[in-house]
Amino acid sequence: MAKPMHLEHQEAYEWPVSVYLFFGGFGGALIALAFIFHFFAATQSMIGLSVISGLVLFAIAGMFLVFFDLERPLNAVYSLNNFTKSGISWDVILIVLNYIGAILYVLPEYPNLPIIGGIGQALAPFQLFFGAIGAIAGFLFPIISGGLLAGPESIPLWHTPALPLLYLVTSFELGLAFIGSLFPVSGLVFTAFTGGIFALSLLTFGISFAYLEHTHNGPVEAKEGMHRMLKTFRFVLLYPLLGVLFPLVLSAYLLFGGAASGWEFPALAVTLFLGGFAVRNCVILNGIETYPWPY
Amino acid sequence: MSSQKERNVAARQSTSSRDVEWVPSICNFCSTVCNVRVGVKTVNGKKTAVKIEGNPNSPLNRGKTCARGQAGLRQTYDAQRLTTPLIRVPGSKRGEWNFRPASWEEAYGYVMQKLQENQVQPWEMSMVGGWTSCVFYMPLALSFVFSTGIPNIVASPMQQCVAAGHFGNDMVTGNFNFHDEVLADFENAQYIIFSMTNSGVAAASTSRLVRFAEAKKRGAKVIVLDPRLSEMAAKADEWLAIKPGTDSAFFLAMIHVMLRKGLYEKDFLIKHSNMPFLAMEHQGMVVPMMETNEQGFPTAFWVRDQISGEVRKLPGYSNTNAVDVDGKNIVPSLEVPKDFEFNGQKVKTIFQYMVEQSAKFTPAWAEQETSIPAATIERIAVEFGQTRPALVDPGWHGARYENILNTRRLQSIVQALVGGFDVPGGWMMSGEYREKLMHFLQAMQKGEQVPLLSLPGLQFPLTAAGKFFDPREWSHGHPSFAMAKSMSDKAEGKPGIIFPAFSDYGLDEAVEGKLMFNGEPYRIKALIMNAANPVRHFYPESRWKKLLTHPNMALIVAIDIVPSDTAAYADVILPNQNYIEREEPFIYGAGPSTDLAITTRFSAVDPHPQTKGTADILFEFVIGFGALDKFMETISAFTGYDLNDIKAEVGKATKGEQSFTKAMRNVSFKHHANNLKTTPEKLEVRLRKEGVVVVEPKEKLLEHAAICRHLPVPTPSGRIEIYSLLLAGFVQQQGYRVNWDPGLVYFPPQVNQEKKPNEFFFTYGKVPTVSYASTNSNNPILMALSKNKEDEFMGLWINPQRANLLNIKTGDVVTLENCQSGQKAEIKAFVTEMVRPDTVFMSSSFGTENPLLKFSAGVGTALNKIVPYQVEPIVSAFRSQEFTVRVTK
Amino acid sequence: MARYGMVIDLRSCVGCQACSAACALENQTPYWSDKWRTKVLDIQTGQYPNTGRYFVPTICMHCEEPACMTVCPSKATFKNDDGFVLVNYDTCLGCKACMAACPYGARYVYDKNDVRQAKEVYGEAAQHTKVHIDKCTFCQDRIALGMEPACVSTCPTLSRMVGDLDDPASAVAKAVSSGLAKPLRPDLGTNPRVYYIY
Repeated sequence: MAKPMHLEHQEAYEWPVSVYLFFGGFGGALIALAFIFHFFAATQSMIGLSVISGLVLFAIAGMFLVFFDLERPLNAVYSLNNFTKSGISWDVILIVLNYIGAILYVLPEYPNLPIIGGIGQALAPFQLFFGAIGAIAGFLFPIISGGLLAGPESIPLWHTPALPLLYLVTSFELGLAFIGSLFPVSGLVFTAFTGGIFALSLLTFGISFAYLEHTHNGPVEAKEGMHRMLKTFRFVLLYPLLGVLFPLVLSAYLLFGGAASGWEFPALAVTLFLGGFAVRNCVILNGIETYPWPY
Repeated sequence: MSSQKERNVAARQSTSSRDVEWVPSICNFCSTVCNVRVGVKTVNGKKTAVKIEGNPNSPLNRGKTCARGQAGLRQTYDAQRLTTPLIRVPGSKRGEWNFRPASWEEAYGYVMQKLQENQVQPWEMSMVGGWTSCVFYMPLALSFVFSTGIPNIVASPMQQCVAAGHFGNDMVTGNFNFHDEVLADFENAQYIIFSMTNSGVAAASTSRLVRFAEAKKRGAKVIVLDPRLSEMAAKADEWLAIKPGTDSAFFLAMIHVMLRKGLYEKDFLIKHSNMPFLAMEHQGMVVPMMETNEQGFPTAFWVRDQISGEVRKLPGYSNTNAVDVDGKNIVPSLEVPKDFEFNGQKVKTIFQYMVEQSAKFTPAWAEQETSIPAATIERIAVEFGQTRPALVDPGWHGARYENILNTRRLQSIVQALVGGFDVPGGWMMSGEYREKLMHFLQAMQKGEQVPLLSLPGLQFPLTAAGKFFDPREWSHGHPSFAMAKSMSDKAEGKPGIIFPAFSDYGLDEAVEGKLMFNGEPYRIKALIMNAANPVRHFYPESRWKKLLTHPNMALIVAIDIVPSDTAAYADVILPNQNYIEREEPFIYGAGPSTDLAITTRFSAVDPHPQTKGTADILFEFVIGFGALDKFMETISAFTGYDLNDIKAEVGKATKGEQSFTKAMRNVSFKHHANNLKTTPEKLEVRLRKEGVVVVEPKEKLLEHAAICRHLPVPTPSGRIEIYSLLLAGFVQQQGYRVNWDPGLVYFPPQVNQEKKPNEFFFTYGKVPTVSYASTNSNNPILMALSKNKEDEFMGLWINPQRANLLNIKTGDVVTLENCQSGQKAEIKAFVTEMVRPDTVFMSSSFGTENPLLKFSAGVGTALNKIVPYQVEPIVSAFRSQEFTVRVTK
Repeated sequence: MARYGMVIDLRSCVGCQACSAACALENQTPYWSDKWRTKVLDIQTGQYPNTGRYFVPTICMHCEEPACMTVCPSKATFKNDDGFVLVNYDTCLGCKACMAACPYGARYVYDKNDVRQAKEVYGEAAQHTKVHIDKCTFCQDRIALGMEPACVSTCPTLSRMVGDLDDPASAVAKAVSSGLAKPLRPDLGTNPRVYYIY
């Protein structure tokens, strides 16, 4: 078949879906991280802030999905009908589990609050259990929601496992940078954070490269989509440069002995935020439909 | 599998066709006149048309209908429907939409008052009719003008189409309105050639498409000559991107090859054409040996009989050359020996002269003219000549170059060489045409006349238009202004128009008071326009806007359905019922259907109460002019309807018991019921149920009423005329001009061949989502489909080879300038490989201006902004793309 | 139960768009937003003078394994007993997962503006009174009435045929079993029931 003459841009998903994926992934990562912090003697405020930010992000993400993207928001009540097969149904379940897990996990951290404190104390023996639920749900969310894009074969630019993995890794990387900029971290925690960011940015680099290769050697619709992305200056600036290379270099510097002066984590958070949004939004906006026609 | 609940949900999703009543009608979105059924149901308390289907009983469109046919019903609900008569607000200018509602009495009163105030004489009025008026109201329109003494009808299909291209075919076959009288039998053809045809088949004429589709499915070979890759060309096995306007060279080369290689139906040519006639050379012209009567009709020809070797005399009008005047069977020769003499003259056969005349039209010569390789032309000629059935599409629209009549005539000659008339895979005459021919012949034998409207083929325009040309036909002694202008031209030593039938030639001079007849100005002061949009459909736009706004133009009446660009120039607008709403005053033949069939429209939904049918409007005008009796007599004389029936029914109408439309409809039903030996009531029931009734199937008709085999054609000689006697007659009357050379000639398009880099040949055409009828442009569905393909459909097609040189990209706004006239228009470019590099193409049916037409106003570019007024000399056909254009960014 | 399928013959299609118009009127699709259940693509290939031009009518393939049904969170997209893939207007969220998943571009949003416009144009006869994702229903209501889908019924070049794929005597079954009519992108595993001759 000769190269098709007109490739159509997909019309289903626009920027609200990228906000949903991004904030949801970021939120899920924060909740998972909050559980992990538990094992590293983290403070109550660190855990609490992670969980609450995570939940706020989920709320915003959910709002974006339901009210800014759905054509009929009030019908969202039907969204669990296809829980065996539909990615959106799974996402909804995961969001619910995230909420349940995260709230019930964090409540025991505040035994002195009026009324809630009592519930928190009662839940204390089960804290890790709920934490695990929240963590697993939070971990799965960027993957499953990335699977919304990657699942169907109809848009070759998206149809690769590299995409959900990329979203998973970048969510956690941003989570670490975010928490790191809100709390003064030092010593072992500092090393853990920078080491985590470094490892995740290496993974990001590797997965991005694999993704690039997939599209370059893949169907013409994927190749064309990737070319359109790479021709956009904004994308190239925000993701490969600011979102991948800069964190890799800076975290390596910090990890291998460089001194921190307090601007590094916020800088990482900002660049990872911009890059994270760019990689989701540009991928969505440059998705090109399969060209099934015989000419 | 779905749950019960889901199935119930699915069941609730209904389509428009549920619970409708189907009412038969005839589509009005082009002159293919497909039979349709309108689906009607009650919505919001009113009977509403919700869907259209093709009528499966139709021998034409076989139950199918195109996008225009489907979308057409929305015209009924156009928010801008004209629902009351409108009178221009005093002080406002023509061109402004500034009217006030009025009653019909007021409107008529206003018309009469204006005519009186300006002392408008009958010859100072003209009717202007669109194709709807021609096809559905011809008896009334013609009777109207003759009974009121108005010698002028400007009919918009003529100079653009019917007279233009069809007339060329008519010279050979004797037909008149080709697309209404002939259906090409694509489905049985094995080799089909198309030239300058797109909308006539692919874009879209459903009756042709259903047959062409069969041809494609059966693997017929299709050749398309077109400078651009039209929808038709997309279906070709070979698309020949011919240089615009040179198609006649291609056909001449085909004739050259076929005659020399014997690739013609010898038997057919001998028996049914004038190829075997003896002819001689006189002053460089080929002249057939013939005898004529006082009126100039031939009464005898001569051929050389192969069997006896003698020269035999043939009747002047016959379908066959196989029987001489003494009744003896003969076999005429196509060729006579060298230096053969007859009556002391050296003679040859027409065949031999045609072979001689075609000698110079070699494929190599044609390659120079057309840019199609000589080897290709030769190969196609041989393939065509060796394949049976082989078919040349007769073509439809024709008004592009001065040489189009010649081109279509040459196409018919090629068709004649393969004997393709009324045979499978050939050109099939309509049942109605056959019927007219048979009656005409029967009457001729009895020495009687048939009614004017029953005259077959060419007989009709020659007689009818002839009446308009002859001052003696009119009590006031004025012929049509077009003929007056032609006469005035000749008096000044200029060539006029030989046959300005229903033409606008001279209209501007007449309006300006510059046209002289018998020493006095022949003015036109008033126009009555019916379903016509000349501001858009004639050339150029500026001409009509000027004459419509001229101070000498005292009155403009427009009968229409929605506000058109032209209606904005009227003084009085009379609202017409649209085709879904109206009953028609007649039963009609089913267009070009090979079966003899009848059909009519039934009103599917109630019309707006203040709208009227055309018949009613014309009758009411006639009554206002005091010519009702004469009107009825003329209708009877022209149609053959019983005058007493007419008087009785019209009498009821004048008393208000029924509409005039109903009156004529009753007369027509009675007339047809009599012919079919049934009652009007039974006929109505049958027509309402079936929509179109086949009176006699084609198989039966072809047994005894095939042209050539059984019936002579309406050419002067009754035979298929390769050598055209009609054109020879023009030579006699007017002197020689290459346009009416009766033999084989070529004259190239008169366009600048040496062009600058930004200069192009200009072509235009239609797209399948538009309709050229007067006010069909505002259809929201059709406009949505057109806008969806805005680049292809509304852009100026330009090849990247030239576009790149000029730095033009798709979407750029460019200026299109007519290099000859200087007219300019702006249009968006569409850079495409689908057009010759030296040619540009634009679509013809966009550029509406009237802002009331909210879906189409301002969309696209109007063709007639850059086409000047230039006509060819036979029928004043428009030479509407005979110029080059400059494209600049 | 009949297994309905369609065969579209690209050899005869002339791109007249009668199908789009017929469907628009039959099913009240939002032509005012340039959205169609069935469209005709106009594809140009090659270079002058060897340019090709092809018309390809597109439509919902009513797949046996519809990708759209898998991803629908509310099961608004379902298959009825005749195997037609339909949308339940009541439970559709409008999440457009189906639009993204369909490899044939068969779906579009019948949004708020479209619903409002439909009410204006069609009044109480408006078929689409709720926002939903819309697509071809194979005119299953017409089929219930014994008619063909609107696009098939109107096609002037007889380029569309419907019939029972399981009935060996039907034209569609013959076209498919002979290999003349082929599905598009069979590698995607959707198993379409609309086949193309090209």
